[in-house]
Amino acid sequence: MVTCQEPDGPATDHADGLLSFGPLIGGATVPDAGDWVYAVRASALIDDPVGATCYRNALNAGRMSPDAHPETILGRCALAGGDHLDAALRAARDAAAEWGGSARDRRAPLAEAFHSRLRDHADTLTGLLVEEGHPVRLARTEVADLLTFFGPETTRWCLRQMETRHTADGRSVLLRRVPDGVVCVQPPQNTPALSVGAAFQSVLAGNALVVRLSRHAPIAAMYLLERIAVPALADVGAPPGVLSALCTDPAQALDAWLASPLVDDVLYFGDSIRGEQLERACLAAGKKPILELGGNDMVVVWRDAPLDQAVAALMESYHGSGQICCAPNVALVHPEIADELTDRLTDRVRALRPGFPDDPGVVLAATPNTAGYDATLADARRAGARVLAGGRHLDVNGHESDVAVFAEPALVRVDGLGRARELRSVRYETFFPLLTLAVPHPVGDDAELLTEMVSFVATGTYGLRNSLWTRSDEVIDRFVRDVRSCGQLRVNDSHLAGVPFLSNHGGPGLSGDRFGELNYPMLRTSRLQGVSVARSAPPAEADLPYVPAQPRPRVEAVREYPPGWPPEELPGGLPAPFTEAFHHDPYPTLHWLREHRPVSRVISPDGPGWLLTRYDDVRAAHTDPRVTCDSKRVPAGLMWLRHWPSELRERLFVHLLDSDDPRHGELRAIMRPFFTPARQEQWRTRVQRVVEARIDRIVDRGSGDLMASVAYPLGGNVLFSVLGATPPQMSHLRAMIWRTAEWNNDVPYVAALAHEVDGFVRAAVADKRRSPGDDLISLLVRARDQDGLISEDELHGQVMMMLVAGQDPSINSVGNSLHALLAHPDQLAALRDDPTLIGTGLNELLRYESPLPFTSWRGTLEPIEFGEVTVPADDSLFLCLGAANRDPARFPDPDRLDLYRTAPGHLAFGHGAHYCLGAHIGRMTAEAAVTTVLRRLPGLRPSGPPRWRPSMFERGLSVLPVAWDVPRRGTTR
Amino acid sequence: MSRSEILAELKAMLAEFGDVDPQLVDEQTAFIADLGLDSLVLVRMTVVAEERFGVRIPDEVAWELDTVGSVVSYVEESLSRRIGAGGE
Repeated sequence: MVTCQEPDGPATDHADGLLSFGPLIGGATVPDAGDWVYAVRASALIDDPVGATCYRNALNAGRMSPDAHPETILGRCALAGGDHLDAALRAARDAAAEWGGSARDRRAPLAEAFHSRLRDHADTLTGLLVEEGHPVRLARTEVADLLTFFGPETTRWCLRQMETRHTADGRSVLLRRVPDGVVCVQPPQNTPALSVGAAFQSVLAGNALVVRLSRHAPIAAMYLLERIAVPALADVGAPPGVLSALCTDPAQALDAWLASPLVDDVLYFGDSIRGEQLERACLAAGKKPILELGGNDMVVVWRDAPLDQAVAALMESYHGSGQICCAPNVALVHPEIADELTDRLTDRVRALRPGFPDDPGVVLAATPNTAGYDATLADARRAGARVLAGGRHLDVNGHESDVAVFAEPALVRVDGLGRARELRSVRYETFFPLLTLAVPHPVGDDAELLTEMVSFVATGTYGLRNSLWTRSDEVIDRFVRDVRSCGQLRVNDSHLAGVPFLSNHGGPGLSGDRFGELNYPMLRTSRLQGVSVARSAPPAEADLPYVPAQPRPRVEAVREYPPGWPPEELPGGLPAPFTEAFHHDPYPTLHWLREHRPVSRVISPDGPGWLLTRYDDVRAAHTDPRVTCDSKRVPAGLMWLRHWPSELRERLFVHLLDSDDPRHGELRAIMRPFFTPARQEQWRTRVQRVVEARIDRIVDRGSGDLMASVAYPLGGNVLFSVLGATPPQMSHLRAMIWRTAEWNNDVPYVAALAHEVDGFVRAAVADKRRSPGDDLISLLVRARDQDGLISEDELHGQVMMMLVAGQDPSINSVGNSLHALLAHPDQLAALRDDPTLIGTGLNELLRYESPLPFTSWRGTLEPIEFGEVTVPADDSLFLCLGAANRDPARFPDPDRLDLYRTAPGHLAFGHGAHYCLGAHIGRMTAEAAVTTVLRRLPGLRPSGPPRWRPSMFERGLSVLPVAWDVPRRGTTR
Repeated sequence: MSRSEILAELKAMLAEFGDVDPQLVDEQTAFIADLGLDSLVLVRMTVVAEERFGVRIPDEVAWELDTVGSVVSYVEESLSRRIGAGGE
């Protein structure tokens, strides 16, 4: 018995003895005392199929010894287990890292080393293939094909694809293919050696291979790997881990590969259906599938074909009894020569005889499994085809036998391509010796015939290889032009024999994976990468002169102002009301006005009106029935709304804020249940949670903008929770609402904003109609749909109003309060030290810097006296809550912030019938935000100038930059 | 599938993929602004949400659903459209 423990010994000596292979892991054979699978010589199986098979089974079961019939045994292979699979993958992964990173020039000599050792071992390998059942003529061709594949032409072309270098603009540009890494190979079970040989090319790309061999015919393949590939790898100094080969159960290996993170590619040879399944499994597992599946090759024989040569090529169909994927399966024969070709072929096919594989006159191989042979011939007969040869099952002596291992070579002729398409033998690949001649019905016109035949080939579902026999350049051109659906075309050539430059494998359709093409494993297991290295400073970008290409579209606000706007400054250089400087600091102006012109006719961007600044006047105007809130009855209100689309203006401005009693009272009654203090108190936990969560996000930063970090998101969150609406984009909607509450005249896209608000309202209402909840919109929907208390317009208008009224005041009171405290560090410290101070403190903060210094524009329905001044009927009123809250007649020393001040009655939430419905929730929001910010952000101090938002009615910050001491972890909360 | 069931499922997914405490999540919660979720987490969640809810959430739609509630609404509406037909 000869084992493989001396891999450098002359291989030819072993071929006649018993070859014994252990698992090959990382280039070395692992000693193994496990189970063996035995390979019995094909000649023994052919001679006595039943006896030899039984002996092999007894050997594999360990019930008999090789010594019983040593002459029948070719060799044996140790069965590898799960541990071996793992070890092989790990070795491959390690080796791939090194080998894949080595230079192409280090890897390239492997092709020559392998080629040269393969040449030296060619006879032995051929011998082993014969012992595995390959007829010697076929075996020689197969080894020759492998030599051609590793020959200089193919290798050089592939290496060129692997790497090209260029220079451009002072850069070295490298286009190279980098290896995928670990490639696992599952060769076909019947004839693995040559597939494994081809797969070995992927090592040249820098990959490491793990090969799984079937238990049926592992010997030649193992020999090829252990005796030829491993020494070749040693020749070029490759890390031994790049090659492992194991004989195992196929499912076990595939499962392990798909599950292993170490595997990159799976190179699989097998049938088309299993291949498709495997492709999906590979992709799901993140592996690249490279599939070599079935073939159903066709040969076109044109009328001018050299018939002798064409017949010889068609006879290749029977080599190896049709088990080779790329053997001709169907011949498409020009009707003009069909009869002669049929006669010649029939004679040749009938002359084929079974025999032993070492007989050079034998091309047929024993096929223990001929499933489908009888059925296919029966199908052909049923479909009206003629079976010209074949149909019997023969033993090696050519006698029919019930334990036959040869299928009699079959030849089928079918006339008419339409009928041909129905034949099983034409539609699907076969694994037995059968060639179908498909002859088109004669038509007068050769051009038509050519179209029909070429189209038949081009629409084949398999994609390996197709051939043509003709002397006409025109026909060749047509064939080459139109048959693009396969990996390889042969014209006037052997269908089987290897050709330099061409690979023996690969194709699209049912023959491969979705990326199937002529398969050079070196290329298919690598991927293109581009590299650019700047050798000198990259050329400077050309200095292009700045040419504004087109005017940039920009929508400007309307900015149409009434006569008299902008007004002149007040005496002493004080800014006039509503001007930009006024917004920055309104109080000096308001004080001066209150003192000198407490009821003053002023000009606003919405036209003229009477500005009230005294506490008593403002408060009285809130309860005076001659004062209207209906913007459509107020000149300034109409002006404010003038840029809204009229349809929306009329429909939506029917809400609470915009209506007078008695309708106002009715609307308010509907909403009141939702705004009881007890009800509003429920929001406290949520508010607290939102504030805490927001501060969690910034606490470690030490500085930030309290508006963006706390106030804005809090306002939005509370508002939409109350409404029960779910804005898809909170910040977009928040910013949009903000702008609609501003000075319409100064807001670009104001009509579009109005439509957006309307769209949101419609969607929110529809949403709540579909699935109502415990929220304000649902309550309003019920009032509309069930109780009929409000109109659809009022429903929509009220929701719109809430969008504005429910958000900005909260945001402003949070921001203004914090701003006021930051400007008064002693007060801030007092509040931080005693959080209960917020009880009185918040009212003072709201008084001191009221979030809404103005109410919406009001108007007089009749002449009204305010002190000594009578405001005529139908005029506009600007009620300044901010001024009233700083009236010294009501609040002594009003510009001083004093959190201990107990003077009640500030007007920050309005007064009377229109007193803010959400006052409680607004106050609570501000309380929670202010106390939490102070508690969580120690050492809070201003870190930059705050910015006020320009706004007609509101006073609120857009930015409040602050810094604080970053608390040590775990010390807060 | 009711709105609250969809919300519960989303909370569970947020806990699973984003390590987010379900108690901190309601319909107004914004995935990025409030929870600071990674876009990768959102893409994974979208893929899983498609499976669990049995609705398609194309990227261009998912891109615009910033808040938990908007996803609930989208899923609810997609489901009702599929079941409904005779509805509105």
